[in-house]
Amino acid sequence: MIHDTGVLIGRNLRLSLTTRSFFQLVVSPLVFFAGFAIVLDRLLTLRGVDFGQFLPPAIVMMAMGLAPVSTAFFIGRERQSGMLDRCRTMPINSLSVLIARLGTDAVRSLIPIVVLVAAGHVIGFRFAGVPSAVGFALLAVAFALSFCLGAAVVAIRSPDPESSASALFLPMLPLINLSTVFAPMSVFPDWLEPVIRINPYSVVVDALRALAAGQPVSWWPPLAWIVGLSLFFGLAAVRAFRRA
Amino acid sequence: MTAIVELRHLSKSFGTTVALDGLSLAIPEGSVVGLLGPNGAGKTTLINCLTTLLRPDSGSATIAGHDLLTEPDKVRAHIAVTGQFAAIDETLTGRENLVFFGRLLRLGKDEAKDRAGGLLERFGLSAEADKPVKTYSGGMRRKLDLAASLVVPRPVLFLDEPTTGLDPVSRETLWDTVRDLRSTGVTILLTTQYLEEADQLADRIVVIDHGKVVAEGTAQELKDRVGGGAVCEIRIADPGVREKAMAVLGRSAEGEDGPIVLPAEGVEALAGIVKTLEAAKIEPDDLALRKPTLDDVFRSLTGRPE
Repeated sequence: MIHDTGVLIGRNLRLSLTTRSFFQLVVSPLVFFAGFAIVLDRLLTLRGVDFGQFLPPAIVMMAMGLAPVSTAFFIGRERQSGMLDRCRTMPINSLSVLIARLGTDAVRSLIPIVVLVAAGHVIGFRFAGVPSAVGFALLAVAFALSFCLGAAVVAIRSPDPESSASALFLPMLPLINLSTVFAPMSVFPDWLEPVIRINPYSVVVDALRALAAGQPVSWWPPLAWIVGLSLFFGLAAVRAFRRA
Repeated sequence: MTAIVELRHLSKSFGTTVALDGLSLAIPEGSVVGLLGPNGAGKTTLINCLTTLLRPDSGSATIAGHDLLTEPDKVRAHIAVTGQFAAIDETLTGRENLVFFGRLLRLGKDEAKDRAGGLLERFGLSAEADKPVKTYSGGMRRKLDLAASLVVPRPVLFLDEPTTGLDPVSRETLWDTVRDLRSTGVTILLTTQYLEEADQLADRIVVIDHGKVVAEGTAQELKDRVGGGAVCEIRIADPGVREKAMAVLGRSAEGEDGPIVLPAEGVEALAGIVKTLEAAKIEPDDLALRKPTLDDVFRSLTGRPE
C-alpha cells in the first residue's frame, strides 16, 4: 500500500505541474491577499486590529477552503477518463488511490501556505518561533484535508464532476462570511455570536492566529471539528472507494 | 483445452433491470472469444463483473483458478483490461504513462523503463514516446492504452470495444496486435460493435441478449445456423409489402426494417423463395444471393441489427 500510494502521489504531483495549478496555488492566493489587504487594511486598523497578524491566516483559510474543489476536480477527471476503474482492476490496494489523492492535496495545500506566509512577511506577519510555524502549517493542512475527504465522497458518487466541483465551492462563502476569518467577533451582532463561535472556520482561524502569535491556543474546538469531519467523511470515502 | 475463465449462473440486477440472467460461459485457455450483443444485452455488465468492478448478485466465476468473489485480488493479478475509454493521462508523455503503470505494478524503476521502451517500439510509438498524450491521434491513444495493459503480461486480457471510433487503418494495426498477442498464448475476451472484427479475430463467438447466452460457436458454425452455403437477401422498401412478404415467407425475427434474409443453399431453395413471392404477387426491390455474414446471425438471433 505504501509503495502504491507513493507511485500514485508521484504521478499526481507530476500532473499538478500545470499552469492551471500555478494560478490556483500561487497566483490566486496572492491576488486575494493583495485585494483584501487594500480593502481591509485601514478598516481593521481603525478598529485596533493588528492587521499584519490578522490577514495572512484569513487568506490561508480561503486557500484551504478551495482545496476540496481541486480534490473533486481530479477525482472526477480520473473517474471520467477510466483511470479510476483501471486502478480498481489492478492488484493494488483499493484505498491507495484515495490516500494518494489526500497526500497530493496535502502537498498542494502547503504551497499557498508558504506563498501567503511569505507575502504576509511584507506586511508584518511573524511567527513566534519554529514550532508555532510548523503547528500553523499542520493545522491548516489538516483542516483542508478534512474537507477534501468530503469532496472525495461527493466526487466519487456524483455522476457529473463539473457540477460537483462547483457545488463544493458554494458552502465555503457563507462559512467564511459568518466566521472570524475576515472580521473580529466584535463586529457581529450578539444574537449571531453562537453561530460565529461554533463555525469551524472561526475556531481554526482563531487557533492559527494564536499559534502564529505564540499565544495560548484552545485546541479542543478545532481538533474536534477536524477529527469529527475526518471520521465522518473518511468512513464514507472508504466505503465509496471500496464498493464493488 | 481447459477453461481459464469459467462463469456459472452469473446474475446481476440494477433495481428491476436484469442485466445478467444466470449467464454461464467457459473460455478455453489461449483462445480469442468475441462477445457480441445488442446495446443493453449485458456485455458491459459482464465485463465489469469479470474485471472485479462490479459484484454479481449470485452465481460464481473463476479466472485462472481464482474465485472472483472470494479472491478478487488474485484475479486482478491475472487480468488486464483495456476499456472503451483511454485510461491514460493526457498531460503525461506516452513513455511516462507506461512507466507509471509499470511502477504501480511493482516493477523496479529500470525494469519499468525497459518495458515501456519495448512496448512503445512494438506499437510503433517510439517517435512520439516523449510527447504528451494530448498530441496523439485516436489510434495512437488506443495503442498506448493497450500497451498499458501489457506492461506486466497477464494471462487473460479483456478488450472492451478496442477499435470503436478508429479509422480503418488504425483498426487493422490494432487487429494485428491482437493476433500477435494471441500467438503468445494470451486468452482474450473481446467485445465489439463490429461483427467483422469478431469474424476476423475471434476463435469463438458468444452472442448474448437479455443477460443470457443465446448462441455460441465459431463464426462458421453460427453462419451455418442461418443458412450453410448461402442466404437470399430480399429488400422491400414499402413497409406493408415487406410485412406481407415476411408473412408468406414465414419470417418473424428480422425486426422493423432492413433486408429479409433467408437460408438459400442450392438453386432449389432459391427457386422456392421466388415462387412463394410470385404466388403472393410480391415484387421485391432487390433480391440477391450471397454468403451469410455474422450480421445475419445477429439479426436472426436477436431480432435487432448490431
